Amino acid sequence: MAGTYEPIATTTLSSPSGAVGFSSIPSTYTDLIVVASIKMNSGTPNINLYINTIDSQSYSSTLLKGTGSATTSSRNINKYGSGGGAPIGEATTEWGIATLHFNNYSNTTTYKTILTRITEPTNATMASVCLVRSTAAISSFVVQADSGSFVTDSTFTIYGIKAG
Amino acid sequence: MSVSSVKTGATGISLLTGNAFYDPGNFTSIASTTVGVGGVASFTFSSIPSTYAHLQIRALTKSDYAGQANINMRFNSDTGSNYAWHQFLGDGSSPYSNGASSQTLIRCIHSSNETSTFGSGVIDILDYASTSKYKTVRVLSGYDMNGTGGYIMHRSGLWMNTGAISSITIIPESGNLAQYTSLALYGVKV
Repeated sequence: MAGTYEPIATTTLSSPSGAVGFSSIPSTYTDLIVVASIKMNSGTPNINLYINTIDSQSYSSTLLKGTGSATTSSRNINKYGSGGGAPIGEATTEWGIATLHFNNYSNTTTYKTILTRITEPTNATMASVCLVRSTAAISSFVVQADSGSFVTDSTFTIYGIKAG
Repeated sequence: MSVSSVKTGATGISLLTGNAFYDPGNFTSIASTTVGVGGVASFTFSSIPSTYAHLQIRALTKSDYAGQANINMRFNSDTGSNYAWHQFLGDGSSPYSNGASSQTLIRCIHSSNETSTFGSGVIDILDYASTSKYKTVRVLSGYDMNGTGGYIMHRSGLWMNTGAISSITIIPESGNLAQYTSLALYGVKV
């Protein structure tokens, strides 16, 4: 019998990569949670979310960032999937943690709203909400950096949560 | 008492006869709902057992109100001014924080006024079954409307009551919970 909260897949990078994706995600869960331990090989790029290979201007996001001395909020609209999708946060050259919540990801009646928390040690803490204007169930997604690569040993784990 | 397994035919004295031990794990679904046609004024998780350490509500919500509206939370049908909340929000340009005391409910999620755009939220209620502490709530929630509105929100809430939480009501500040709103309650064991 399946559990309520269980791992679906995990990826540990054996070499640097600018993007990590999951495909063929089953629709049998209620929510998905992605937990990633990430570090860049250079810079502080935006981390973007690209879903179901939807390549139209269907992506938007709102971000909140606190650096310890300043708080900012930014918005991205009409982003193309082919341009990487919508920014959901940043990553740095120190190990950070990203947690993404895909609530009710497999419904086919609402647009998809994804919440993200990203911790950037010594740099900032961030949260974001991303909208994908598609009612299709999420069956694949890619997390990718604007520039640079996630370093070796970066990990990405996707969990499924099942409501009774 | 002898028990026979309908699965294997094995006989024994345990209800687990013939079946592998099932461990429900430390994160367990308690109840869930998806709002149907016409919406509902509110939804209540009732008869919540006190056997968990913490609760988590995971939700995709919307009000059918013409404007954007908060989706709020109330415990044990307490409609008194026994709640407080704080919030830290990003609206795409000017982040801000505020709060309120002596409230009749806790702000948790929020709702867009676009048909297909719902707010998403994860609500943690820690030590909900304690009978010696006021109850504290932590929320991550948000919605985005592609340039016409939306917030990313950190919220916290307080219920100034030491009673164990046995029911949770989710109620929009205006309008009804719209069709396709989904709410799921989980119990977390330690």
